Amino acid sequence: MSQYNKIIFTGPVGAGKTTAIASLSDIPPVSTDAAASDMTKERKASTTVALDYGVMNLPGGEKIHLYGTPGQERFDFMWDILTSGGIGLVLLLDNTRADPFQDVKFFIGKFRDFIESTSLVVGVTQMDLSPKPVLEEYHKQFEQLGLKPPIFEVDGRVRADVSLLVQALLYAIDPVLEEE
Amino acid sequence: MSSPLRVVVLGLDDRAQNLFRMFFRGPCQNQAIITEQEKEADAFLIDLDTQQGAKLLAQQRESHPERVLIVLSVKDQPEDKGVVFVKKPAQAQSMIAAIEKARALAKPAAPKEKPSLFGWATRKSSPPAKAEPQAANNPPTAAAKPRQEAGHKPAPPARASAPPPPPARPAPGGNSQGMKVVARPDKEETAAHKVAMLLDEQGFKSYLGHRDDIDPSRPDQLATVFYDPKVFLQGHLQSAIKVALTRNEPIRLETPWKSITILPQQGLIHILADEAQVRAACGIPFRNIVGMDVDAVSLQQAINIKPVSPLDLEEILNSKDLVRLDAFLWKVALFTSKGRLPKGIDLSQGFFLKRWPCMTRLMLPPHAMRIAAMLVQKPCSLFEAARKMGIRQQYVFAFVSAAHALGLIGQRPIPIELETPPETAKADKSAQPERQSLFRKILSRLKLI
Repeated sequence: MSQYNKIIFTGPVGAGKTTAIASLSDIPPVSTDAAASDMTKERKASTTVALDYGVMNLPGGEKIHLYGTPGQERFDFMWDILTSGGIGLVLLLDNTRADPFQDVKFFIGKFRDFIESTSLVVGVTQMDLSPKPVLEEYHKQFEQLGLKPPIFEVDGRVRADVSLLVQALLYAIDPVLEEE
Repeated sequence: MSSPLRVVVLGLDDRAQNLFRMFFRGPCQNQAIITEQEKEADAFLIDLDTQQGAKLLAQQRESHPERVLIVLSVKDQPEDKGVVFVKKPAQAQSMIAAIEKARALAKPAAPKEKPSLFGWATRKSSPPAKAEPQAANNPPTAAAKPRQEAGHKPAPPARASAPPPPPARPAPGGNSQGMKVVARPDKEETAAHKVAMLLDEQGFKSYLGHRDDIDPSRPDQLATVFYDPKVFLQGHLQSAIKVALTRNEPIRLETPWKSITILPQQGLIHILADEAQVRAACGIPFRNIVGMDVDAVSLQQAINIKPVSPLDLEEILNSKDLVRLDAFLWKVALFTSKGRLPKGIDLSQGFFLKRWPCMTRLMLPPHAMRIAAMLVQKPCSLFEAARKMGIRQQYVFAFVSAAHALGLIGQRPIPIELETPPETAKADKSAQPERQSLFRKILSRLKLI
């Protein structure tokens, strides 16, 4: 079993982490949603309080574990534990949030060490509901933070979108990679 | 959305099968996929106009009367039991309708909980235990309302009921919650929601042809690599987009071929042409497009850029024929380049990608993701990039042409220290063979999706 066998999905409440994991998982994904009891309830009636979990089965019996961090910031103590042994970070951002760039700063700040030792991709969701900010503005935000990640518009319900996002994560680590 | 219909194509060669694969993936919005496994197939496709077509149909009806057949022909055919007819030339709309019919016909035979492509039950038949919050439990939020009114995206799918949950356990924050199973989500891919179309090597060849690699030290070969976008639709489109962006107002590019409306504020384009028409228009010099045949001067006079009236704008914004501006220009450049490079590019310099394009919404040539990843890291000679990745130069050139059209390509001299000697590159690649092997497996798995 490889040491690097996790892909971590993070992002604010409602960005689509649970859905994205469900899109890729070979098992019925496990989620730990609870009725929202704080400000979260303004965006979702339920939210993930522990973590989301899914699995991608690979040829040869290996497995890739897909973990989604809880959306609520008060559970960020779990994030360090989750990222240990992670291949990279999939950051999902909700374009309908009041200030998605604030989310960018928050999550990059929290995961900076992990990103620097691995790789980062960014999926912006809900762009059909809220087309602005446009992706170019996101690129500028990340450049200011010294990062140049792949940033794609995604819909977590579209498997191909999530698949391309994770492919970009791997190629960003090693462009010379070929599929088996 | 239902799972894609799994279709076995009978009696057609690889090239034709590949065209169907792309047709299903692109214009038919992934409603069907090609499979070679007859056991897992939902339907079988036969082209009645091939030499073996009629024989194949008769054989299928006789030996497998339970099978659902999608039959194509230029002549109208009766739709017997289990047969769905599509008149050629097959249009996306008629094929999607046929796929739906075939799906309905195939359904009774399918088990109630059919394993999905991912190997687990989709549980579509289960009654929803809990609707997605915005869909039912909550009054629509400000953000959710326009979604419903404008009919953009269907509400997120309701979650399926779970088997009896394991005992509840305390959750952080004091909430006592049990684990639950969530249904794999899926989405109705509407025409307005254009997902990426991936061209594999075979698909690229079928779509855009084949070009041999060139020797960069041979001027005669180098000359064959370039094309002049100005001679093609691409040049006219790029000029018009520039005008629209400068004015920051909608404009209409009127040509003897089609009218193209550019909406810079929305980042959209309106054009009444399907993909095949656009591809055909990109493939030859614009003045030679069938039906025009005008000289350069007359063509220039016939092409106009006009403002769009508020009334027209309103009508266009309500149209279903809007496409993303970046995706359309990217595709036009890809179709025009066919694996060549726009004139004026200096091949002696290093190339870099200023930022990643939105690859989930573009038509991607083979190896696009790898090429992007390589060029975004550091400036690299295009020949070196192709060599390092072990791919045809044509794919690198196609990607660079499309990215160049979007203004994403930069050039600068390659400092000697930036050029990685082949030995070093090899050493890097083999640094963590176990990890690379894992990544390759993940990629193979992801590309099945």
